[in-house]
Amino acid sequence: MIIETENLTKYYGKIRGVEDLSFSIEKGEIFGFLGPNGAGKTTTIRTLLGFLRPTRGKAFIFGKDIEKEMLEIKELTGYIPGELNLYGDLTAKDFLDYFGKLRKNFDEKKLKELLEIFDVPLKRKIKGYSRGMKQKLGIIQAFMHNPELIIMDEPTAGLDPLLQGKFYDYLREEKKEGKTMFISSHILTEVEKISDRVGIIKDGNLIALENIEALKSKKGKVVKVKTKEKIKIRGIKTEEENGWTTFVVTKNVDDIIKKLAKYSIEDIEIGELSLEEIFMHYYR
Amino acid sequence: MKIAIHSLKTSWKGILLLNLVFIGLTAMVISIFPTIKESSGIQEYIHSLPESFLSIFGRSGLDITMLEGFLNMELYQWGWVLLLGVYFAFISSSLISKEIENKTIDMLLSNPVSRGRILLEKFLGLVPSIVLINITTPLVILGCAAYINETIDVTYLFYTHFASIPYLLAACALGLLFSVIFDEARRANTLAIGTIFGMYIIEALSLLSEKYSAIGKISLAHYYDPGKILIQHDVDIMGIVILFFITVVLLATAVIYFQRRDIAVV
Repeated sequence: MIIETENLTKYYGKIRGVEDLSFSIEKGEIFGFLGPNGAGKTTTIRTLLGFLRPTRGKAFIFGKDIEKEMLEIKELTGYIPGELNLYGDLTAKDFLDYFGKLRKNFDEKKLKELLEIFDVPLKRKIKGYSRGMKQKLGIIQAFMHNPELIIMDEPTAGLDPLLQGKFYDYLREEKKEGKTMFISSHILTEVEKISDRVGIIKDGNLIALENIEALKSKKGKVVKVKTKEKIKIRGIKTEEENGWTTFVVTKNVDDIIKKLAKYSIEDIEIGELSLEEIFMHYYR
Repeated sequence: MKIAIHSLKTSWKGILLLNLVFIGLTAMVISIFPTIKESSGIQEYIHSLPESFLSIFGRSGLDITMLEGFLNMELYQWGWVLLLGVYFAFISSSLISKEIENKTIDMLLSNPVSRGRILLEKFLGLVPSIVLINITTPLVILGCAAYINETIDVTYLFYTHFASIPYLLAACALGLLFSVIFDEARRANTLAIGTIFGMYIIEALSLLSEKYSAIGKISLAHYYDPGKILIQHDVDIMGIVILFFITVVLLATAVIYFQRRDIAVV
């Protein structure tokens, strides 16, 4: 096990952060940590990294207790924070030099390799960086000491689609080398591209741990249809508003469309289930 | 030592500026000394000033027709005890609070470095600037004094500066304590400046009357009196020891507090 938590709980005073999280992540796994904003993703990550002291419960990374052996854990861990704040007054080169010196396992070769994939203007001060450039620098610093575990808090925010692709390719390469990854996100489609397994967190509680295949089977379409008549389809819960009927189709689309054909349709919209809708539909 | 070196590297401009300001100030103060010395009635004028004013700026020596007395009043009491005390407390009070405010602390803490080490290295990063200002200024004093044909006791000039180091270290440790408590640099800065300033006033008040003399003991300024060393040639060893002790206690408190606190997303 690379990460193991037992009833990990964090309260901010009386305000709940996360409650009784118990999960484990194996070596070589890409674990997607999914939940809407404010569900407790960042709290979990910050607790695992020792920024926050757990209120109760335990967590082990590489079998080491996060409350006692954090330095050993950090030697082998890389981190991309959700809100990336780098030292604006430093050039990227100075920043990477500084952090490289703080890490025993700093790997010059690895850095070169990263800089080829995620090129950033090394001589420019970081405050002059665009969001995408900063994010690239965040990725570089997280991987440049060849860590065994990389914890990422919404890492693709700010990356354009092309770079996102590059980033995912890079993660897949790293996975082949046996690296373990923990990626939080509030976007299902983002996590499902890359993860092996997904944990879903809602209101501070872990409500599901699923293989990605199982989660994918929970996909569906939202159908919004405007008709003159009232729609009634057996086995499907519908909601009505201003002549529009909304419902979720999870299987057998063909069947539904054929049934809808009986009605006189004025307008129709079909969309992917959003994460929130998946939550509403499956994990209520 | 990497964090200390980095801290020093990023602050060299401020250090340079500070030294230039004090070089200029010192040279200016000494350049007007001959005029003061010659002018008649200046000593009477000094003694006619309110006692509270004198207790603030003229601790341990009011004879400004002597170079030592003049420097005490025009440079050391307010420049060293107050201004440099405030400066170093201000700088150190930003060291952690600014990283928390700018959230760069997340990145820093993702490295395998303990919070205690971060704090102590940031403290150590301040030591060279404290030492440097205590080298440049006496050198300028000696140079300028020679230029105006005045002499000053080199040994006690050295002691005056040497004894200021523990005082300034204590001011830094105090600032650092504020810097781990507050998430906003500005609040830490304000409190650090306010505390040093307040303690300076308290020490001055304590000198005004026997009744208040005890309250001076809570002031850092009480344990470093440049005038006493420079003019009366009396080095307060106990004061130095106490300042070192206070520094250690403040630093230890800051380390413990920093280790225990949450670094939450604000």
